[in-house]
Amino acid sequence: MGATGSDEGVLLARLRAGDEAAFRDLVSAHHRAMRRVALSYVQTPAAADEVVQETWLAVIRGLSRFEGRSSLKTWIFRILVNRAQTRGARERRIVPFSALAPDGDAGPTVDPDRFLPPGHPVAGYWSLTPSRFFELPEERLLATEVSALIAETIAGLPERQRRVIELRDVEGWDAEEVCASLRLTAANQRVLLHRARSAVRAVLEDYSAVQVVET
Amino acid sequence: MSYEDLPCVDFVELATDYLEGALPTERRLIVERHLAFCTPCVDYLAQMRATVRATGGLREEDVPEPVMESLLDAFREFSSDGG
Repeated sequence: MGATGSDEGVLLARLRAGDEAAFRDLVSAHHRAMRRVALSYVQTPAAADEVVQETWLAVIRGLSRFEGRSSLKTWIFRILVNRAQTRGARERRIVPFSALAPDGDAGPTVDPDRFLPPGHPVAGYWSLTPSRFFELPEERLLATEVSALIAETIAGLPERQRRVIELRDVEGWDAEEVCASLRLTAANQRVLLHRARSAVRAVLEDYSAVQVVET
Repeated sequence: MSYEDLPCVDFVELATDYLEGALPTERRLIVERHLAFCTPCVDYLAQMRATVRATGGLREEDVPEPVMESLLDAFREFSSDGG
């Protein structure tokens, strides 16, 4: 378990002792991600909110029995997924998330016009090379305007791509956690992540090009 | 190194598998040989990393206060029951 294990031990002891600040931290850490995961199983935001609420009540009641064989986070999301899945089945969500149509999981993720065409002596090499927007200072990259643009791009992605990039890159989850909670294979998770990140990358590159012209 | 091993147009589709450490060794070595010679693809990879950092900027810690309060009520109630 290592360092995180002992940190969890402390957190768990505080929660069991009724420490409200510890509970507040726990809710802050997981609530939004729980909503995102729940939404991949149920039809409506209202249903997702109910599933999340029920899960927190189950967590509160179960804290004294939690044995720490998995991390607290894994335990919480296992409860959530079980409940969301049951609820989703009852609502008969038309297609389970994991079986949703591959929604544009094919085709190139970079505009083919960016590369030299077949027949060219170095076909497939960049004709218009990537910009260096990554050299922008961090405060520009994280500016409100850029965040809004990224949020808008993510909101427009096909559902599975959206859920994966939200958990991986917004919430900072690792691949295994996403696969477990969204019931995706490792390979599938990577394809969805690649397509989602590529869409955001393209938007950032266009945006930064406009910025350079304007300044 | 012959560029036909991996033209840039194919490299970009492997970028996430590469960043995730998910490529089989042989494939990874081909990617690394390509990157050793191709500055634009190194830049593309840096774009992808910057994209991940910028997306991370969307993270918020805030939970709507009424939601937090109702959960805290449930937590208090259960804790005071000696649960």
